[in-house]
Amino acid sequence: MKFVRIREKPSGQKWFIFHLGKQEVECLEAALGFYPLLEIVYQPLSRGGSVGRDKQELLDDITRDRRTVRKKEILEFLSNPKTIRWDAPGTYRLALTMEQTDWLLSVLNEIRVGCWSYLGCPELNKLNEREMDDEQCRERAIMDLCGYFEMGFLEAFKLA
Amino acid sequence: MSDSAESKGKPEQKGKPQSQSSSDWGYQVVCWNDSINIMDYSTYVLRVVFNWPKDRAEAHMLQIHNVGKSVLVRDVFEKAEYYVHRLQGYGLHATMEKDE
Repeated sequence: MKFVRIREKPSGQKWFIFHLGKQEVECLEAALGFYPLLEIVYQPLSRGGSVGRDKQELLDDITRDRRTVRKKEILEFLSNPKTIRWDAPGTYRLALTMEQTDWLLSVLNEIRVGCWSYLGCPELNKLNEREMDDEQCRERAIMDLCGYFEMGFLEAFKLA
Repeated sequence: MSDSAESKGKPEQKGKPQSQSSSDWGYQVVCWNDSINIMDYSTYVLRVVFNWPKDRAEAHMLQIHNVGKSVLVRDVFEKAEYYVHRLQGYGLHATMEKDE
């Protein structure tokens, strides 16, 4: 994936333009298809127990609702023919507003954290030493893919 | 962790009315270290959620990475809860703790 440029429309809205190869498009679509991976009660609202149970339940409800909305948004994102367009032989063009890029970053990160959680929250530098079954290898691959795309989107924000 | 991060890591001081004591703010928003979130990503999220300049967000990110946690802000319950919801929505490991 390559960040190509920022395009500013007359309205002032900025668009990030990326070029992706065919396999990258397939990988991005495949990774997004795994959403959501993270369990609802992944982390508490408080570690010290300084908030009531009702507040934790509220957070869980909000998380559940957010995931439902995001899943729907992902399906819309992937089914929109304008999202990723064929640009030239072997090249696809991904055009995202800053808001869409922010959204995609957080979605990819949630998938990435979900894979990591599934793997038992390991130190990443020790992952290569572990023996993994097929399922764990798949989670590891999705995790790395999400990280790859996240780095690409973060690069665009740095240059914006 | 660096002292610079600590000195910069007090956004709650800004705009704090002088008539209120620290106990009125009640809650700390704490971000904890994990090995999964990319450092640049964490910095990006802190900038978005708190509208901080890059150096301030980076200082907190480094404090999280090096010390294991960083107190991002001190605020009233509702605001602290709001920040934690947003940070967790981005996948950061954030909690709110009573400010002792």
